[in-house]
Amino acid sequence: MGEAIVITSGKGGVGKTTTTANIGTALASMGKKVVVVDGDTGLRNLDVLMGLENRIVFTLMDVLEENCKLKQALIKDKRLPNLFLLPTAQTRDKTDITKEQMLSLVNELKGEFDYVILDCPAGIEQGFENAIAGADRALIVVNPEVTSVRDADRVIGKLEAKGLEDHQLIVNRINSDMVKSGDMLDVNDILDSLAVKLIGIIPDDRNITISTNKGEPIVLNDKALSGQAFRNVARRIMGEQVPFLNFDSNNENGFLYSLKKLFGIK
Amino acid sequence: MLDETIIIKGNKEGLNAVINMNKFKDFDEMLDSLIERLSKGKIFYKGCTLKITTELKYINEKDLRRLKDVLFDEFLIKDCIFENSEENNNKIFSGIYEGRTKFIRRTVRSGQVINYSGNLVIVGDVNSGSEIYAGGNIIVIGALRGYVHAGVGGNQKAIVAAFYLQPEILQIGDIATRSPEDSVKPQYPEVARIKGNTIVVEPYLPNKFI
Repeated sequence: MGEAIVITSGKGGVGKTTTTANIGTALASMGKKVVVVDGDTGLRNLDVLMGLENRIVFTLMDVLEENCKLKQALIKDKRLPNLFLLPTAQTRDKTDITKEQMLSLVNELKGEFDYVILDCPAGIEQGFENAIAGADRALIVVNPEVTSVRDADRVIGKLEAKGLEDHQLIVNRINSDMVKSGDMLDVNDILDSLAVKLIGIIPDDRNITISTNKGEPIVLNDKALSGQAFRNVARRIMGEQVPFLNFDSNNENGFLYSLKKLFGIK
Repeated sequence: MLDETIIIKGNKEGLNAVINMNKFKDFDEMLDSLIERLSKGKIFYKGCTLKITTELKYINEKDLRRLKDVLFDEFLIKDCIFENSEENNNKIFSGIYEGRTKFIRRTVRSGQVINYSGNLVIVGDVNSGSEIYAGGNIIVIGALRGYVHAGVGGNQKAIVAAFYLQPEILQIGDIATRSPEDSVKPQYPEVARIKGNTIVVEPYLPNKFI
């Protein structure tokens, strides 16, 4: 029996779908059998991030309405043979799905996959309720902004009210220079006000935009720091203890750091 | 409050009909409406005890007897108790030195509302966007950033205390205030209470309050 993980945030545009695509890909690249499910009916995007938008024939809606079998709607990833996407319908509405339907669908998927990663839509309405219905664990994506932290707080409250107590935080789009100059919320500030466990810190990275447009998750890029950060989150999901990355501009990966080390300046 | 005219609810003491007399023109209109409501489940009410909560000052002796007659004869109700709703609302919680207290051992998050008639102790934070109401004191062992109302019902002697007191709006009894903007935010515990006719916030000093 696999584990269902919902990626949620409350606020829109913080990187839920990006996180879903990357964590799903990272888990699959580590040998797990993974399915990523798009919960954003009517505004689907997960297929684009995975680069699979041209392969959609059947959707989650067709499965629920029994127009096709579950297996027919699952799309196999281009790169990884043990990664699948369950897309949702673009021409339908979030209210066309019920919690009960999602619960039984997720349970069916859990029987076949090690990890079921659910991409939750923004907001706290029907779409949110559907996405969390079958989840065992929630990852809350938050940006270092007051608005995002506020909405995350509301969402955590909602999750607790629904009995989903296992939740962890991903701080996305941290800019270490801005944090240092005091212009951006620090990870500790966010943890202080939300009082939840941290599972990952993802740095702000221009490569994410490029990878989104190309349809290639950033975790497949070995050089990108954000890809590394996502891979670490995936390892922590599997229960490994991985130290958090250091995003200072003169860290081990930096050119300047290597130069300084070469000359013995530290 | 609810704008429903007649609310029928069941609790552990039995059935309770809350009637808002202000919504009716006169007693007869209320009686017709009540009969209509009860008729829907006529068999259900047979032999039960019904408590009627309403503003008794609007009903005179004669009408009260008529109401009882209808309930006993038409609906075969066993017993009927009358209670004045105003008495309930005006009761001020007076146990701020010793009395009922609820402990909440978690963070109160945005969108959550906590309402308690006695004192409240929150072991955790109260985040912005949440609302807390207590009949008595409110003590937060953590940061208080939400909307907070102590002494609901009018107890002016209630206090609000927190390790970090930065509420959106702070109300004690019927006096409300909000945190000053653009000032230094104190990082030490503070206590708010009413002095004279305003809410005064002072640093918490053990000798002063215990």
